[in-house]
Amino acid sequence: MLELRRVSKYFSGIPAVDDVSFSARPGEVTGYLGPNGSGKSTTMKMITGLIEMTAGEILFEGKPIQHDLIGYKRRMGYVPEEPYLYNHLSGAEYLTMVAQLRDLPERESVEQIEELLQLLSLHGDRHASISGYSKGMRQKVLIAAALLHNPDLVLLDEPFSGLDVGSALILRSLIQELAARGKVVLFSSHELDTVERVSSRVAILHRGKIVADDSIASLRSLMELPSLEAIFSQLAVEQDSDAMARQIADLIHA
Amino acid sequence: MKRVLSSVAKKLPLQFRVLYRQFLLRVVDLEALSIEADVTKLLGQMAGILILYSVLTTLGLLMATGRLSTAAADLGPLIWRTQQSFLSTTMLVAGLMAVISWDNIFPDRRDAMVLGPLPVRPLTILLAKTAAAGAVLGIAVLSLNLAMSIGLCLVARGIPYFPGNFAAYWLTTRSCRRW
Repeated sequence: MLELRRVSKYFSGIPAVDDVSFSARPGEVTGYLGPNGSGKSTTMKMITGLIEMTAGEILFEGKPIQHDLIGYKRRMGYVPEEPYLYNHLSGAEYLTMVAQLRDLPERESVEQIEELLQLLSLHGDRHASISGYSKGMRQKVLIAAALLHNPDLVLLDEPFSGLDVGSALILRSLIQELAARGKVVLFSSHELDTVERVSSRVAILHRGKIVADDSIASLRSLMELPSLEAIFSQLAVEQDSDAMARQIADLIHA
Repeated sequence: MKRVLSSVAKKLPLQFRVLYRQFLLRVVDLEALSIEADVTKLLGQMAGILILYSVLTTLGLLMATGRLSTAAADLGPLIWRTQQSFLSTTMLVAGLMAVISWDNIFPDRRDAMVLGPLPVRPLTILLAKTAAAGAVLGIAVLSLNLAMSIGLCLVARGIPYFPGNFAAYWLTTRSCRRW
């Protein structure tokens, strides 16, 4: 289980994440939602160990991740929000590099990379430079790199970004399949419909604080609202979206 | 030689070798190059130009000393001027290489995002980066000075003093690269 206990992150004294506590269990997909700038990606980066928290504790299987960060990273797969890759490499070369750095057995990883590229429809472009890849292709490389070592903890930060409809449907099923195989899946996205379909629990973040942490069914019945979108609008959206849209349309018309 | 080097390389940790290779390829700012640019070819061409310059200058020196009498008084100023000129050129090349590879000496945001989630120790990344930057600088200095170090040491005092002169040449060049 992944557990965050009173985690905070301050940038120059300004709280980006403030006293956040929630947990993600094996066999479940936990959705992590919040408007832009609410601190979702900062939380994700703290969970991956990319940035240090100002206060609090992150535990994986009951142990603070900082105690053995390298060991923890061996068991974690992360798809970041921004598709940072080494552009001078090809897709296959990049995945080989990741496999080597993860110390995976050479023969097995070569076969696995070939098959993953095939399944993700990247096989035809496996020897092309990543600099020529589209955003969706880059995203697929990141997803393959995150899953190559069969991680116990899967962290997905906006994983659907840039994917076409077919690939998004595959990824949606894949997320559920990974959870069904006992992995801890934490999934951050703006696509409320997808989160509602895929996740069993959600944690909603607003201005750096958790405003809801429960199963979607419980939230629906508790708040007497029909959908996750309605729950999210009530908890994390401050302005009237229709009125805002009218204002913008009026402004550009004038 | 190649076998010795590869057996030494195999003794290094795999993560270091993988990162060293990556950083060596990225030592030139790839964003400044076109998509099709081949960095290994570019580095090879650069080394080739430096070797060519070194060989041509050495041949010039050998031809000039051939026309002069062997008196130390005649040879001295010429050798001294050549060596000074080569030290200046080495400093220039080392400076130029430092400027070209400056952005890639330190880990950037891309490295943090790519390598951060992987089980790699920061020290391994730092050592691989330093080794890659040092290797490029070393290749440049070696390419530029190899032919001249042999030619100059042979001309200066002949074969009996060659080992000592050769060592002194490279010690001076090494110190010059440091500065």
